Amino acid sequence: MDLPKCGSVQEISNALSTNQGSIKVTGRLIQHDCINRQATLCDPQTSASLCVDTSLTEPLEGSVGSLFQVIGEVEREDGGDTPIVRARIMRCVDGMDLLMYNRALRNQQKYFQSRNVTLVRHN
Amino acid sequence: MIFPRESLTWDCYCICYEMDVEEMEVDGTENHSLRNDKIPKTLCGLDFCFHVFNKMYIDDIIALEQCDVIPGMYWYKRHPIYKVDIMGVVVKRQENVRCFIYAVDDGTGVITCCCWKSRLHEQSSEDIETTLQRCRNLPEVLRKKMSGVLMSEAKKKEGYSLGDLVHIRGKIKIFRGEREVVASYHNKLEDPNMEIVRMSELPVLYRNLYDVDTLPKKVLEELSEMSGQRKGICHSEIVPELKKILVTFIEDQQPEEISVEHVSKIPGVTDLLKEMKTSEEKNTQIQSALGVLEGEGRVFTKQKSQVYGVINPGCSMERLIMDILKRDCVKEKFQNEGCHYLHIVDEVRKSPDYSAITNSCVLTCLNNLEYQSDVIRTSFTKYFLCKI
Repeated sequence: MDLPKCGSVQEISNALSTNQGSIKVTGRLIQHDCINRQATLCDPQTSASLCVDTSLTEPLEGSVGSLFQVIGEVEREDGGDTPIVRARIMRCVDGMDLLMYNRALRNQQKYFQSRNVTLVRHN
Repeated sequence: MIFPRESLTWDCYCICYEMDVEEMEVDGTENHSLRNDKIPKTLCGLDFCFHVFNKMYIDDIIALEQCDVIPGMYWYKRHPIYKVDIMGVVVKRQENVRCFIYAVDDGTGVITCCCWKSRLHEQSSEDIETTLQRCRNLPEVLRKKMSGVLMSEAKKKEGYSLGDLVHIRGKIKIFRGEREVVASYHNKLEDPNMEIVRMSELPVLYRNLYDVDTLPKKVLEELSEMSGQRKGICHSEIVPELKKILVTFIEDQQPEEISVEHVSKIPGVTDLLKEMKTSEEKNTQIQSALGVLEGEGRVFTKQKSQVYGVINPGCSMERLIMDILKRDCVKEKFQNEGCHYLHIVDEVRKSPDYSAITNSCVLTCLNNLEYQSDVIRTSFTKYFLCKI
């Protein structure tokens, strides 16, 4: 079975700056346009937002206002400055404590840094 | 949905989080020198990792080092790993006749998991409602529980879908060149916070258990002693070889005496000890080989000299023993049954040349005499002259 690349866990605020192939981000769905299949994900703490292409994952399980976790590839459209995440997995994670999630994430990254291994294995 | 912070998972999560990070890093580096050499396979069972499902990052599972000796076993640093416990999101699924194959992503790596379909489900054609009908006498609470269990089992039968958070335990196998986890337990997790629990649990587990040696200190000490001894065995393998060469030398040449210097000039011995640089090392090896021979009664140390006497048929000690027997066998005490060999040893030791002779040397001599029909054994330990 051809395995997809693993989505390296990122916070929305620095998800696009890293420019990595596959990412996994978690945030609140603040806008969803099901005709153009586009959605916007926002981090409640930093209020950083992210554009998501949902054409592979329609219909969405939840509605606007739900928490969503997205695994997908960062893509830059020709001419457009804003990168977009083409989601291949989108799951509703209502009930997740985002504050704790971010803390756990930072803890994990700290551990990986301590053993000098980057979080993502570049294939 | 709001999850109570008092629940067990939350407690464990908070404890994990509060653990002191800095202190644990020190522990990790302390045992660095021991990391590279593995536990001998007979002691693998002592490691806790051997028996349990190890919660690990998928990236680490993919990078585990394969064990050549035991199939199906892998090494993470110094820990033998058989079974793993992973939690992640299903990113790909494939259904076969006999099994489901999922690709599970935990944010560090992706691995395939094989979940075999249960044969039991195929046989039971009853659907949920008829089963519940049969159980309608049960109390309300149990009936609810029953339907819940049946529903989740039925869902398992259909397999998980993309984006489900799954918890999988199983053995690591290699299938078509790729590593995969063959699930012995798998379940879908409804609570998204379980992922957080796992994320904060893993660094603690790694720092406290997987990245350090968890064997008791005493066992580790013994292990390092054992590895030291193994080097010793390498050396001591030389001694039996030396002994063999010496025995053939003595049997062929039948020298009356032998010295360390003499031995080192035997062609076989020089070949054997070629690798040793200092003559001291060589001499100690030769001396220990001669010591073994002395224990077997083939040579004996002569007083006040570096020379070893050799016990051959017809050597001077035989004549001495014969003299002793001729003198003593006439005595009333030994007339009937002959002399006990310990008496002979005592008598031999009275002569200045043989004052430190060992029992085994005298016994070899007596054996030789018996072989030549000069003496006869009246019992296991008593010797008598054939001709008086």
